[in-house]
Amino acid sequence: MADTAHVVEHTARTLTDHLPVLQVLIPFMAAPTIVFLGSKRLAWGLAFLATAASFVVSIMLMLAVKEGNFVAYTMGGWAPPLGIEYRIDAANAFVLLLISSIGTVVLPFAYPSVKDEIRSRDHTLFYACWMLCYTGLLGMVATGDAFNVFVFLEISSLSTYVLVAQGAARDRRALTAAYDYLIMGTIGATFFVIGLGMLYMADVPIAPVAAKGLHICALCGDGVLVCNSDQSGFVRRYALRLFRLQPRFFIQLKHA
Amino acid sequence: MSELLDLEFLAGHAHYLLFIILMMTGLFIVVDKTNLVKKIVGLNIFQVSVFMFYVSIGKVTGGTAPIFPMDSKFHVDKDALEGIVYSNPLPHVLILTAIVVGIATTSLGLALIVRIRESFDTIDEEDLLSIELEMTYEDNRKYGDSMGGLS
Repeated sequence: MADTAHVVEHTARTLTDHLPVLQVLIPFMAAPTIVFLGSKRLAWGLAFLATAASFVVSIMLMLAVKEGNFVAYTMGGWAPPLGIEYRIDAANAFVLLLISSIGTVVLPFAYPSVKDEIRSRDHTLFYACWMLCYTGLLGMVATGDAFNVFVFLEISSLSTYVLVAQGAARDRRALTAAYDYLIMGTIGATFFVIGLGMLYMADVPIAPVAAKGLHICALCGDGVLVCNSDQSGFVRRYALRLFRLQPRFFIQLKHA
Repeated sequence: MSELLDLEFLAGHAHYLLFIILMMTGLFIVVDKTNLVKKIVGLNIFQVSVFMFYVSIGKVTGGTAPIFPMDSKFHVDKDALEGIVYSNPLPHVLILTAIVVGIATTSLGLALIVRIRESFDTIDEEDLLSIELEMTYEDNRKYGDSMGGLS
């Protein structure tokens, strides 16, 4: 490796290639932006802008996969056995469209009721939590990695606990309700992690390999290993050896 | 006795037994204790049992830390590579994320307990339930007629 100049070629060259990650990243970055700007009026506008933008992205993704093909996006160019892959197929894109369209439709009507029901000093934090919840829901659908589903599940549920507790301004029983939900939700999510561990054990030396775009298949053993051509040498030589991977198919992505 | 109880099998699967005992201890604390802070402690024990389960399945007998024998100039020592056995780092990396999530959950739960203490003046679940029952009766007395005459 010392004598080979490691030239990294990017497979994602245009903004359209980044759509799967933009779908999740736009609302995710909107949440801290809302908090740091700290303006009540701007909070709703930014939240609506981010939601509408992710709605547009989900429409573009739907158009891209409506023929039955899929869009795979490897985070940072790391192939699935080592890195996280976002994989959008027709089923995923439909659910993404569903979530983002509901978010976009609901948010204009939420403006007056949030004004009425939430204390005015909490408005920015409310919208930030709302954006995080929305991010978690989108991410759960978009990702192709089973453990990443758990991470997004926790992102959405932690922000939902806060959203439930927001009702304390009107009725203090919201606090105990949020606490009960936290206990139940955490136990449920932990059982999800145990299930992932059991699945992983069933096929011990195998790292996540996405086979058919189904999340659970991300942990199947004899699947398809997809990697960029600039990494194939590294993956073949070292990663396969490190994890003792034996994929049935080895697909090497070619690009111009 | 030795036919009934396969000691060698039990010793080989001791980490599963420990995982199950720890997990059930945590779950029992969550269900049984009425103090909200103790419930959070039980939840933490429950989560830590899963972390230990993950860490134990990644261990390979005789395996070392999965660090590639490579110097600072990316030169791989071919001799050192032969016959080396690594533990599987992937479960360990995954559980690092779960630990962070667990800390976030704990802090949110404790913050909620502070708020509950502020508005109810108690963190005992039995007291909270009786206060909430009283509030529900109050609601029924006030609005019961308009909701169908529950009062």
